[in-house]
Amino acid sequence: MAAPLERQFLGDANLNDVTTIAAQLSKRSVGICAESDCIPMGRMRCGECGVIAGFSEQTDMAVSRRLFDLGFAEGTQVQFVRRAPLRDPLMFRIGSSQMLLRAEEANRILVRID
Amino acid sequence: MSCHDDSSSAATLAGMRRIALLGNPNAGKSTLFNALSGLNAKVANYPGVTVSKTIGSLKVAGHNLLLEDLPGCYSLEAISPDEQVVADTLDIGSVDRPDGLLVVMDATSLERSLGLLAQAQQLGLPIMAVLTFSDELLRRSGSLDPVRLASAVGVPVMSVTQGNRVQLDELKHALTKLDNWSVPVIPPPADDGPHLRSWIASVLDAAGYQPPADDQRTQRIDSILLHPVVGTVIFILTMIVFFQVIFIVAAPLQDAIETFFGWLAGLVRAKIGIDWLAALIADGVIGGAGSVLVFLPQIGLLFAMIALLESTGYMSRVAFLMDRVMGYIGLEGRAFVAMLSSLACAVPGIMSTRTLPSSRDRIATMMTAPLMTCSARLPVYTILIAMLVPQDARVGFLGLQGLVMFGMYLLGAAGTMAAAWVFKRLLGGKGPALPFYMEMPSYRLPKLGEIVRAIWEACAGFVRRVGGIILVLSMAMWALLSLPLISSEQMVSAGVDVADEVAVATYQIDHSAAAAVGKAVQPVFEPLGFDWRITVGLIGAMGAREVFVATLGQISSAEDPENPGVDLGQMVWLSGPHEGEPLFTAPATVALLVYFAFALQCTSTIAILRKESGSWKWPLIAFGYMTALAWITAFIAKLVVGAVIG
Repeated sequence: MAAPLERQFLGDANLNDVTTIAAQLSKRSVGICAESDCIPMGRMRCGECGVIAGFSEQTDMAVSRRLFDLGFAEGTQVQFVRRAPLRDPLMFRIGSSQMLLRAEEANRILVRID
Repeated sequence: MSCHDDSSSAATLAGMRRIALLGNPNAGKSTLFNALSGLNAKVANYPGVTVSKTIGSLKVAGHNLLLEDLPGCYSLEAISPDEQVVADTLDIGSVDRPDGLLVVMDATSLERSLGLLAQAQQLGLPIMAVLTFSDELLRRSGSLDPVRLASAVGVPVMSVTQGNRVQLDELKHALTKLDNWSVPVIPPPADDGPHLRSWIASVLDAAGYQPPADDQRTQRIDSILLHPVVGTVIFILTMIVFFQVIFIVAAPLQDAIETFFGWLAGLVRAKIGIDWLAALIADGVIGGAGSVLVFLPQIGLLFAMIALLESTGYMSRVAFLMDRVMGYIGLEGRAFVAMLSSLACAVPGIMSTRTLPSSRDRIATMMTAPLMTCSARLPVYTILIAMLVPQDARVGFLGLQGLVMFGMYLLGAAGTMAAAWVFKRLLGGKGPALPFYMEMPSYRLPKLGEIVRAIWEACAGFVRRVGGIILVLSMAMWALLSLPLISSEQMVSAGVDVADEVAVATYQIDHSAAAAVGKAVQPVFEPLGFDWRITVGLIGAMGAREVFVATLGQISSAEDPENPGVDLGQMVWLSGPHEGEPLFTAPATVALLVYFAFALQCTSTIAILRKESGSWKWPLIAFGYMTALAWITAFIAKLVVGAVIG
């Protein structure tokens, strides 16, 4: 009973018109970080811990909102656990779960190293 | 697969309250659903395995309730097909909108679950929260007070740990009283990031939440299984063992099945006096079904291994290790899991693409997964490779037959990768950029029941296929090959020696209805070196690949009924410019192998493509491109092998 794929090809704008709850949630704001003492999360060293400072400013904030929903929220402690043998993706410990992100997405998140 | 009912028809059952289960992937939602409804939805440890809406019913204290297991999701802001199902169902205008919502929250990752609960509380539905894995939270020295959590979030909270009947019964009774579920005075904020975070923090604080310590066991195992060197070696060894088990362990079982059906056919021939009826039952029914059922052990083992990898949590690690490789062709790690499942059968492979958040990735994976060497190709490959390579031929200590078989698997994988790359390019353009994210589940001991269920479902599904489409097709092929019946007088007048059984059978088959069809279509396959009999086999195999084996068996036994196991390699061209020349030459056999590697000969795959993509467009494109690819590559293979042999 998946939604017909044709609809999904229409892209973000139409997708959000489909349901009211989704439309409402797509207007959320997540913290943008413009401070200079932060590094992109993908540049952390193996085993290093940090605190999430916010998201880098992007035109497409849907991805950032999803990362937020996954638990990558401002003020949360994050640890870089390991890199896949072929360099990507990266494994992070956030809260008590382990999450895989590719470097591209991880770099949208800015962290402050303790 | 059989348990995924059509929800819209079930929804129309009048007078029943509907309760939907919502939760993160891997939160124990499907397990809870099975425990409540007693209906066996598939449970596995791979995130996002609940890819279909699953409906069950529950009768408690005179109340009938409909339960719906929604796909796992991290947010109600839908970006994948799975999440779209959830958002559509819960939308205010939805006809399927439930009367109440059970939000399943994993106690070991409560923060994230609370985010989803906050979103769900915007829906205006009665809500109850169910805490799962509380035992795991305690084991990892965390703590939580469900009563204080309930007063903090404003909705009832019940804790249900797996296997606890008392808690389950309490939950069942609570479900009937959904009109009395408490509602918070002020719903939590969900429209703003920072406000939501402070709400979650205050709830966690009020509930006395102590987050669990890190899962030491999983970390220790991961440090080995995901080690850059050791982990890679273990992964390769796992893949090798995976295939070795399927071929080596299955062999004696397959021999036993073969012997049994041979004995059964012999019995029928001896006991039934009427020649044509004996032939119909022995060759058409028993021969047709037996030549296909012989692959039951391999299919059972294949699904057992996939279930084992999924339920231990290693399948997610496979996605982690292979993500980059899939990245080269524009896909992601979960697409590899879909491809791996397609080694069993493209149907579950295509179904598992629902875990892919990007619709482009999903189409590219769906359209190319049927190129992976599925178990239906095995019977065909086994017979063709046996004709191509002598059984005792070896390279070093490895059997050459096994190596060629391995080569066919590589060919299928390479074809899949190349085609996926092309599809991703063709589908390109600037769409929404979807992130790749995946949660690593903790390692869990595999549950025997889940593996047995996976084997049972796969085998039962296969037997239904054999009983349905394959048996019908192979009997139809038998009829086409045997009709019209030709009398002895006609044969005599055609100059056939009626005392020579082989000559009679050959004459009969050469003048059958199948021959007429085969000869009409044969010019299409002439350049590949196929005669009309192979063409008839290919036509029969359009519905299901396994039918090819049954058809060849019928043709060869017709040529030499005294020796039904006769080597197909002795068949020669019956007419035309090649008359008398061997039919299964090395170039023609290789061409046939390559044709089967790439052609889409499977009604089930076409049907699932139609269902999953929502239109006939994609199955038609798949059929078109795969048939063209098969013909062209088979033609090239024939020319190359011909040139090499000289």
